[in-house]
Amino acid sequence: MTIYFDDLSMGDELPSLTTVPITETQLVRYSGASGDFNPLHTVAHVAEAAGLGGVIAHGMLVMGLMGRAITAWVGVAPLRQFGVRFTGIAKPGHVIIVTGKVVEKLEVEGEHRVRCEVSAVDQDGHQKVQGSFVVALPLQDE
Amino acid sequence: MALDKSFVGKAFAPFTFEVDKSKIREFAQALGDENPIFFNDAAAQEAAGLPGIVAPPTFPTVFKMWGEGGSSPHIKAMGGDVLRLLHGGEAYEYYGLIRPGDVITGQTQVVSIEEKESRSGHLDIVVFQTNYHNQRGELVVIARTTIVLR
Repeated sequence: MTIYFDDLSMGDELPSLTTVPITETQLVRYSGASGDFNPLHTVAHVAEAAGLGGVIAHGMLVMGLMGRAITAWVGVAPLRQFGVRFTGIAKPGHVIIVTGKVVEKLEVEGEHRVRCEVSAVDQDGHQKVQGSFVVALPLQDE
Repeated sequence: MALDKSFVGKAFAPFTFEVDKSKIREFAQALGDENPIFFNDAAAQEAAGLPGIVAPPTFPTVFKMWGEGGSSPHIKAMGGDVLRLLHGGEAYEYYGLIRPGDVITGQTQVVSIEEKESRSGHLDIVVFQTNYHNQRGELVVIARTTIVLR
């Protein structure tokens, strides 16, 4: 279902995404896929020695989960910008909930674009990643 | 030990990554993403405006990690302690789709090196910019990586 620029108003929310809990195996898969083999993500004794209590998720993994929500909403082709700050640590057992809302409608280089704030928190509401993205959307009559 | 600020503006050696379907599928699976546009050409073509399987939004991290080992080598070169390294943020600007068969060339430059005092102590903040072009010389993604040394 196409999302049109005309359909959206300030404050409109993206469909929220809730993941299954992060697992240690997912961190192994993500390390291999992304090429980030920092042992904090996969080697328990290294993460414990660093005072983290156990392995932690890559910030980029959580950004990737936010990307899932964006793609599910509007696909990949409309994406123009996507930027985040890593504000909290996600760990195995955490469920990640991605929410976002429209904060700006703008016209840039002949495209109608929408800027959204986007946030990832865990099941207790603790934030992991905060950012924004911009997508270019068609007009209803195009 | 302070980072070597003469690195500001310095560009590191270019690196390449060859995109294929198996890597896109592996990456999407690792994120638990079942969106068929990352797995199946016909499904991607049925979705508006896609020529076939495309890379997911955060896929450029694959280029950086597999292509140049991430930011750690550059931080080491600047005299930084990678054990203190945290990924502070990442931002992408997208100029084109990334597809299986693409050969992506990236080159990273140091944008800034700053110091900050915070509650947790002295922080070094380094911003890198990596420009990615495909085999047709088209700019596809610009990535800005913020690294914090705590």
